[in-house]
Amino acid sequence: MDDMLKIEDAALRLGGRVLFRNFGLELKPGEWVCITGESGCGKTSLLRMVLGFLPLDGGRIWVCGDELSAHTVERIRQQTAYVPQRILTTAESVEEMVRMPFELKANRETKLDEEEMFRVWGLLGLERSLFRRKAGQLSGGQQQRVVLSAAALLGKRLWLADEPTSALDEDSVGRVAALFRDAASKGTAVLTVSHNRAFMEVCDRVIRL
Amino acid sequence: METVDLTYTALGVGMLLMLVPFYFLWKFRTGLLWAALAGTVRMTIQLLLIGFYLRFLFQWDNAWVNVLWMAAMAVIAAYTAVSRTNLRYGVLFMPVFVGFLVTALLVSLYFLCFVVRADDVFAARFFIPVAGVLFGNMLTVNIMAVNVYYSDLRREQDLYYYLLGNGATRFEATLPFLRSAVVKSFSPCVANMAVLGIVSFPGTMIGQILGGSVPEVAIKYQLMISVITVVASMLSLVITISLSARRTFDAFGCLRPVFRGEKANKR
Repeated sequence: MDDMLKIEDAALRLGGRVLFRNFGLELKPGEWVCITGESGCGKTSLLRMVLGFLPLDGGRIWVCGDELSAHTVERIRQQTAYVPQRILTTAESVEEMVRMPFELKANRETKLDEEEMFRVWGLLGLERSLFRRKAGQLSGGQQQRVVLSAAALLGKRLWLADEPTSALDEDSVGRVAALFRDAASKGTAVLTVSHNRAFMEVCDRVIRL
Repeated sequence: METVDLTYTALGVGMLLMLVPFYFLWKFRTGLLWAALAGTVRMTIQLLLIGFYLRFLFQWDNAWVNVLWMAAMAVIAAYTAVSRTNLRYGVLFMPVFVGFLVTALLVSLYFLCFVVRADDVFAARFFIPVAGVLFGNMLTVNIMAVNVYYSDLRREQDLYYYLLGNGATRFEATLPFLRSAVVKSFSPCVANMAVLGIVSFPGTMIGQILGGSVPEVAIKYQLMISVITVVASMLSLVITISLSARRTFDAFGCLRPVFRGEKANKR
């Protein structure tokens, strides 16, 4: 199977309410798919479901060839980069915030290359001086881009990003879109959830939930 | 030096001092007056009863009875700890109970065997008071730590899922929360240790001196009691959180409903 992500007949129920059923998706390496839909339709839950944070109410999911189950979930998560919409980080400094995922056992072989990080920061419109700042001094949009840059530098084969542009201005949206496009062109499979029209226009496929 | 006993009349005179906080609790309309009154009555009855029980335990002085007594203390301490949080009894009672009992046994046996070098480590006059001191401290630290740990995990679950989603093991993803729980629950302990003997004169030492010990002996015991309470608090906390993880996380590493009234998503 060469799909990075395959979802077959998935159904999700939350709090007794069916959010979706018979949902299917195939995501190939180098492809960027954007999920959109009304608020509360289950977009964020779909991403969480892929990572095993929410239980499937039916259907099956494969990530990088492994079917999602309690036995495979840890291996699956080792191959994904996940950017949630909002993080209440406990990190004191921006540097600590960036380094956090690199200190995990699964990612230790990937060293944080500061020069490469500053290159990505440049693409995302972040200044170098932010690296030495306190995490609490960042705006919501800066924090979102810092977290995104860390995930991007992990070199994972599948990126899952939940509303990565929710706190960004138009210029920054374009920069983030360029980063995703660049990653996809290098073979990374990207699944994003977004409401942003400009963002949706540049991805490969839009799926309305 | 000999022990100066307190008569029951003297105890009554001493208890009159409680009128001061009662007055201000009433005057400031804190709503705590009845709770404070009930607490004082409960404390008095419990301590008098314990004194009565302890006399029997000391006379009986049977190792099995003493261990059983310790287990009963662990049950009550675990129940109290869980009831002072908003966490589910079914999920946390056993981990807290095991954490308390195992820690109390290990630490008190080490202390009595290798430090006090007691002839009979299970002798009631050693075993029961040491266990009592340990439970009191473990209770305070565990209530705070378990509360902080699970409340933070629930409130900041985006961070937990962020770490999991980027390859963290469950332990790695819970580490920021464990760190925060340890810091918040141990900070008072560490601060107290730093001022011991200067700002604060702890109960064990005062009790021993009033009971007739020379200050040097009382201080040595106090030092050791401070050490074993810190050790026991940390050990019980680690055991409680490790054991509770088996019940509080599902096979996918997701936090199950741990707070009373929370509903689960079926997997």
